[in-house]
Amino acid sequence: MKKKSVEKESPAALPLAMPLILPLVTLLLCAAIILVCGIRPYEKLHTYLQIAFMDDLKQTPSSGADGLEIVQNDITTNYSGKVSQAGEPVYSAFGEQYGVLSCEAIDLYVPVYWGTTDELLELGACQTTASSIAGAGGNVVISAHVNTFFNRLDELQTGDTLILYTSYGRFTYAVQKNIRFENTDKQYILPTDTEQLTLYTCEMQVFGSSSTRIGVVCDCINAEFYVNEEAAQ
Amino acid sequence: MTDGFGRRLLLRVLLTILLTFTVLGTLMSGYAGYLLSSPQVCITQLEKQNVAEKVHDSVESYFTSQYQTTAIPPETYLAVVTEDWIADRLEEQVTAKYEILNGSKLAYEMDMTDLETALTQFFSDYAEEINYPKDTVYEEKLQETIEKARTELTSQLDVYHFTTMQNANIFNKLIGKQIYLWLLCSCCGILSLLLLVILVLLERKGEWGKLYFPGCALLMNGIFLTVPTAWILATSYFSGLAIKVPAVYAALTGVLYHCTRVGLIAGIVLLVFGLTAVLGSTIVKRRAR
Repeated sequence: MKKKSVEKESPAALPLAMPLILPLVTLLLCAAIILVCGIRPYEKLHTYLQIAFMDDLKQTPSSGADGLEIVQNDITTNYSGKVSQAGEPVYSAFGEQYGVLSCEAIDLYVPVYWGTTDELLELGACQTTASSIAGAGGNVVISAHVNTFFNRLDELQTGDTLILYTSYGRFTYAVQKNIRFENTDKQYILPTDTEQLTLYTCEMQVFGSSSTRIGVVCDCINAEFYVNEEAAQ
Repeated sequence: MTDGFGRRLLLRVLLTILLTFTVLGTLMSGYAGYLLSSPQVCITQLEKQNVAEKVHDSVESYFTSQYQTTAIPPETYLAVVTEDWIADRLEEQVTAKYEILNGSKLAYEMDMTDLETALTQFFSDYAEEINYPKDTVYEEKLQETIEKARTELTSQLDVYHFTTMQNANIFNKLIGKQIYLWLLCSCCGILSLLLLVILVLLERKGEWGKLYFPGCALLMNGIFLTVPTAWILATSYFSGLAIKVPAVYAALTGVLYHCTRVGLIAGIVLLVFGLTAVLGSTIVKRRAR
């Protein structure tokens, strides 16, 4: 009886290696958990880090956009001068930032570049040059990556407002409907007779890329052209 | 090894992993809460990195280049905008922005009365010198000059880019949110203590030693904090940041490196405690046998 009780109080000795190996095993398990949970945040962070450290400029360009001159402009978002309902849009050069797209509903505040390339998509949202420039009275088509700038695009609801600030004016749009289409379907990026804004991005997937596109079509509810353009610069 | 050893070990390992993440959560949310509540780190870095001197150089260069178009001698501005004036305004601005973040202030506008007085005096003296009447055009030009100087100085002194954060709606979203970080820190802290007690109680008469598993958790935390922070400091990672303005670069990298150093120190402390607990428990247990 006494012997049994002693056995219970001091358990059998562990091999020496075990207490030393166990921290290593735990470390590997913890690292694996961090790795799995970190995939999505890393994807997002990676793009921001590339911008912050301008990694693209440290590499030799190898894409079809070799020699692309990316121009970043200071677009004012607090212009308080005179505005007019009619005016002339100012066309930008390919690769030039021509606006800032903002939407409080999804905390969106992203530079918009004229033209679409992989390099530009890393820096912000891109407007396809085949679409109409803001204020010209057509379909303004803007896209961006889902893992960065348009990661909350699917949260937009009918009636939410977006403002596109440009160097020549600011244009307010209201979400009319959410859209979903295949990448081969061009119906939403075709020209229109009235001013509208079409935003789209890839459908969110953890691994690989999706062929489905999601987005919104917005009606223009207010177009304001800056009268004194110099003041806006 | 007795019956059910594997099951007991699995339970302890799972609790250790949980403890690792709760301790990490406590430390990170606690420090993030401190960074968001107190301007001390930002203010200290302003002094350490000589940000006032860098802003002064930039302001001097701007007003000197503007002389060609405005005919206002740079000395008019620089007599007021000295390094000390800039240092005071920088500290005042950071303190005020943090007060807004903490909800104790609603808005902040930089006081530039002395600069306005200097410019008004210059305009007045010049108008008298050339016998120019102080009409509406004079007033408009004076106001325009004051406004331009105010805009430029506000922009140059905003080394932490509070305005950009406001435009991006980040700043407004952060107002009063420190409470959530403190709450998270408290929850993680309480959970850590609970897990610690459970692990100690489980090993009261166990084969690993009371402090072995809590030690493992601290060791993990030490590794997770030490390795990345040491790598950042060894490679001077943040020095590669593409920021064109010297004052902004110095202030921002100063804060980032400071946070990294804090992480490294915390990591080393946890590493030492963890190693001591793990090795101590193992040695004590083996000697006891």
